[in-house]
Amino acid sequence: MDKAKLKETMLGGLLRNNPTFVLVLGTCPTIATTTSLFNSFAMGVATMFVLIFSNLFISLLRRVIPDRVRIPCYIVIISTFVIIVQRVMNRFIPDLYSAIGTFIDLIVVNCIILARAESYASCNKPLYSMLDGVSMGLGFTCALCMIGIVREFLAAGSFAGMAIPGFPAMDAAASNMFGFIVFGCMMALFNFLVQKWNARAKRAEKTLPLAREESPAEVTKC
Amino acid sequence: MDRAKTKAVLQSIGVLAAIALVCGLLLGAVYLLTEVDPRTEAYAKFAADTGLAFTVPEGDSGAGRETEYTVTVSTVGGTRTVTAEVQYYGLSDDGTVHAFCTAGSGGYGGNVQMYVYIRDGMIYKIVAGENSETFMGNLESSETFYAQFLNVPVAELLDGSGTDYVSGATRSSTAVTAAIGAAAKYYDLYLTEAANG
Repeated sequence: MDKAKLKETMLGGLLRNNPTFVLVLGTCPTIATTTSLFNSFAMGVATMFVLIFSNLFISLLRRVIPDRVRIPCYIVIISTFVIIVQRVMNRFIPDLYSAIGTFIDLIVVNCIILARAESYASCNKPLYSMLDGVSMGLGFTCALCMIGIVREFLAAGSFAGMAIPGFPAMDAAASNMFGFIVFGCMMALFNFLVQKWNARAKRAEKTLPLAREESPAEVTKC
Repeated sequence: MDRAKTKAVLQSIGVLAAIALVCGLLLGAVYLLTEVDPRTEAYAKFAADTGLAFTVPEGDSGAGRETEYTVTVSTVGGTRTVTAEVQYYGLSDDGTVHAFCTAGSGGYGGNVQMYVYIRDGMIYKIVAGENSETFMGNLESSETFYAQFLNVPVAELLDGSGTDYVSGATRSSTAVTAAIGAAAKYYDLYLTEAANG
């Protein structure tokens, strides 16, 4: 087991290839579901579930699936897990389902999932593919939660549903337009911090007697 | 078509069919695990909305009763006749509240399900159920739309042609008015005499 690849896969989705802030994938659910922390978290977890299991199954079947029908096969597998999430959520958390149900259906065509299936799971081993799903899912969930916290705080003057006394709520902050502004600001901040962190890591590497070669940004070697 | 090409095509079809079959079986199992009887679900919703106990009756308590109605509603430029269905009816255990789960057609996204609660011959609560409308929020934010049905004798709601619709959500208004009208008609046909003793 390649420890460096494991580490790269695990950290990739969280920082270097964060699906929301760096790859700018899944923008539609990002804007639509981040009106509160709870909705953001639920959407992130639902997407992570689909990512992990679709990556696992696509990776297991990567040598069986013919190239010409790979996209229909991926869609069938992904939609199966989306329907599972949908039914479980509808059965056990109906209030949440009525709030974000429309976007749960749309996970089928979420570009994060299709992109990971096509670029990673179809050419990597099941364990790495699952880890990639966990990493990408966590990256997506964290990004949504960060945006959700800011939007909920500004729009409702609350944190995770708990009202913060004395803070004036701004109704307009719940609008999609404001969501884009928050998304843009957070993306800029995230990329600024990641670049700083990368620069610091590079400087630290240069001080070593034998500097390692920089690893590629995307681990998609087939 | 040469043999290799035919084989490749058949292999592609076979793999896709096998994946679809396995996924179908998996979904079937999930469906069995998460299935809820819609009538039980409707009764649970009745109880949650009213805070009263609703016991699910054994068998079909409304057998022989008409459940589909046509309701005339007001819309842009006049009136329109649409169909609506009473899907479930329940009486609270204390006998005070008649609860209806109805579905009105004519909505922008198809049928609109509504929960309508009648007490003392008047609607006292209306809750939106499953729907695919994009502007249901307009109805909820309107101060007058739902208010025109509440605390009004059911007999006055049988004809929806005098009701107002919400501008910008005309089709949603149509479906909701039809759904409420169906509950009123069912109540008027089968329950008025029982309610009056």
